[in-house]
Amino acid sequence: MKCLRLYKSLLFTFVKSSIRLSAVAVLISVFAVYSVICTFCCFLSTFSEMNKANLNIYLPEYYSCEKDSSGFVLSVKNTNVKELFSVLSDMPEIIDYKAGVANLLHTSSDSRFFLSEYAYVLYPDEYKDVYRYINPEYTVYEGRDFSEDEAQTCNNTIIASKLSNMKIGETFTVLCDKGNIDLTVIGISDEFVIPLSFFEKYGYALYYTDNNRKQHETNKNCDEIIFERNLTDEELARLDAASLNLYVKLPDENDYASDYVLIIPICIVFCIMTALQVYSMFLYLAKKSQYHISIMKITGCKNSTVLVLTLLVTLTYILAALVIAILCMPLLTELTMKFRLNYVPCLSDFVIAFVFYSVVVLAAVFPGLRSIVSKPLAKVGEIL
Amino acid sequence: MKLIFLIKSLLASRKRFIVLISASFVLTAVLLNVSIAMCEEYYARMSYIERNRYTDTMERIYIKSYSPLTDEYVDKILADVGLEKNRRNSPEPGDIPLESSSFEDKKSAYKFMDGMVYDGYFSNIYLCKYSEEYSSFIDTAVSGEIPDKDKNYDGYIPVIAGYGSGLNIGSEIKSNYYGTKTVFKVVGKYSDDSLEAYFSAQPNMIYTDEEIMYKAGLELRPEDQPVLTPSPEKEQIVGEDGSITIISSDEEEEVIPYLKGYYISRPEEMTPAEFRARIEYLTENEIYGALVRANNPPIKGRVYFENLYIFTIMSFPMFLMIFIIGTLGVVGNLIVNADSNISNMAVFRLCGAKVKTICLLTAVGEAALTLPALAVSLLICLLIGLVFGFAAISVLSSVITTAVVLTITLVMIGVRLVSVIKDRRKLI
Repeated sequence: MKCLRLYKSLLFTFVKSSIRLSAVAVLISVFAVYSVICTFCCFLSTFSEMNKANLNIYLPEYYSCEKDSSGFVLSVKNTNVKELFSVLSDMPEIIDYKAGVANLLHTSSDSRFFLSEYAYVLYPDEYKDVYRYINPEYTVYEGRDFSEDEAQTCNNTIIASKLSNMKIGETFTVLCDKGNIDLTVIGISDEFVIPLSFFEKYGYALYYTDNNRKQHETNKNCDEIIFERNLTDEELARLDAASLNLYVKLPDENDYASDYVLIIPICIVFCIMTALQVYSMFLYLAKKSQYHISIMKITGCKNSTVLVLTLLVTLTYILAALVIAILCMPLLTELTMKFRLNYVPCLSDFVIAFVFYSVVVLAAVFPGLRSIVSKPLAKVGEIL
Repeated sequence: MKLIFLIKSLLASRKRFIVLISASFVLTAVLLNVSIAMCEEYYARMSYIERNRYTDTMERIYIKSYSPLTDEYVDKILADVGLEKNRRNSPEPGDIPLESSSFEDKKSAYKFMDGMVYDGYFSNIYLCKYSEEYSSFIDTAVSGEIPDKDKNYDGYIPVIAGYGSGLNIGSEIKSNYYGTKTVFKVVGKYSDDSLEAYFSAQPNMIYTDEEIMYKAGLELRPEDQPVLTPSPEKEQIVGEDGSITIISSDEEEEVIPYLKGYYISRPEEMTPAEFRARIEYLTENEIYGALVRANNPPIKGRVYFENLYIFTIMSFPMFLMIFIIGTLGVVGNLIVNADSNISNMAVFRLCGAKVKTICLLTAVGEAALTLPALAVSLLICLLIGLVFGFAAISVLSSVITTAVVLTITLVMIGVRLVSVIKDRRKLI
């Protein structure tokens, strides 16, 4: 109880001695925790798909391919995306989902050629639960984006590319043997964007036969999914049972330890850099509290007790930083999402970052604090 | 003199503290420098792509034919889709047999496009013959001279060296160019690697005007080249890039069809889909006896470089944290430095120093921490670059790091000076 009171009074003296420096020290500690978390995000997010289990799922019904001699497992069946996502939610974590682009076949009055436009495919929002970066990033320059309803159900709307010279309200006609499909342009972006519901409504492959009996097609290219780990036979069987077109690529042998071999030294360098920054601040705060420390010693506190208390105060700063870091986690997640880092930091990462950082900082400030505590009034007027 | 003594005593009074803060500044500046240098190349590539958007405006094709590829002939093919006015030669590597190379393996001999026998090994320098110099239509620059087809060069062929070729202006390449002793002299050099980075040119290439080669008698004009006849019994291998090789099964000399690469630029009024459809039409049909193939990847665009620099992109949040920690650290340490100087300043003031002198000492005291640390950090980055061969420093990164550190120092000095002038009582 006495110790708690002493700790409280010491903490109060530390903070009061320089509120500006205390704030800066806490802020630096917050970003030190974030720097460690960002290192995790950078190295644990996949950047080499060869290192991870890789599963390509082809959606078009007509797609067929042959067994590859280089160790690929292959299975071809019919599918639809809804079914796929209901199965994927029970699968290992998806670390990359490359949605295949669409080729939309159309004609233009001033062209004698059949034109095909590449279009991003927009998945409904609920699929973001399976993979948060499933949808492409695009900016609508003119007009409007798809409403939630339009993304869910096909309302025959499309966002046109600014290079296509189309205007808002114009009709974009997709050619089809079963009758042409008219889509209304609602916005202008860098690329064409079409909701997935278009393919759910009309089919993943639409054919058009021209006068020369040559067949052209509107289709959606295959999606490519990369899982965190290789799928077990049971999981593959489940995908197979769900009638999916599978093209499974076996992963290369990967030494996951190599990731950590890089992460740990980088984290240590960051922690040392930050510890160097905050070292002089903590010692300055301790030096400013030297009268308080000497009073504690005069009233009978042992050197070791005072030292532990000062270390605890330092740790409190770091703990405060950890709490702020956890509270501001959504901001960090926003930042990592901007760079499409697929590793989502969890609470355990924050704890690891805290342990890393606090050990380095406490080890750094320990000798300085010990000398201040042992001779609190030595060299009064001289800093450090 | 007195002032210098005061500054010296001010710095000497807290040696340990100054060393520690300087070390933290040095480490921060090094990390900041390295992170900026790592991102710089990616940003340079992206800004080039944004500026030019060649992937939207150009397609690359190969035309293969048994007839010589004269301008009229190629234009006739392209006129079929209305693109005859948008043609330019693409950078195609042609081998230069160096003088020292010897003819050893007869089986590797085959007739070249111009009908002459290639008699050497593949040398490590390639010659590209252009019809229009690339800097005139591609965002790149040439330092030195551009070979002039109307000028008479005495005894040598003027060439522009590729950025990555390792050749400099004035270098000479002595070659046994298909039986003719030839000297290629570098008169200009590309000052950036745009051709290699975006247009799939070989780094070790030299470039010259095809007209100069024709005039020197080293190449036959397409108009003078013979019309070849197809030899269907020979085995042809078509490479992924559209190149065609004819396998020689015996020592007999083989003939390959005329083959040339072109860039076709999209007319401004044409939509990309229309342009793509016309190129696709060309590549699907044999027109006037010529086979056109699309060359993939034609021009490296955003997606290629995003994949190439994926690790840099993923490191951005990490670099941002370094920047924030560094900035906060410098600010915090300068506050500590200034606060801990107050007692010393009070002593100076009591000994008769004017406020002006105190201001000067404050400014020098702050700057003495950051500026030497900045210089040391730049030196360390240079050393890292020299020892590890890793681009730890660049002009831009050093400028940005210097600007950041100087800005923080100046702001902190400004704040401190204001507080010294406003609150003199603190000093006495």
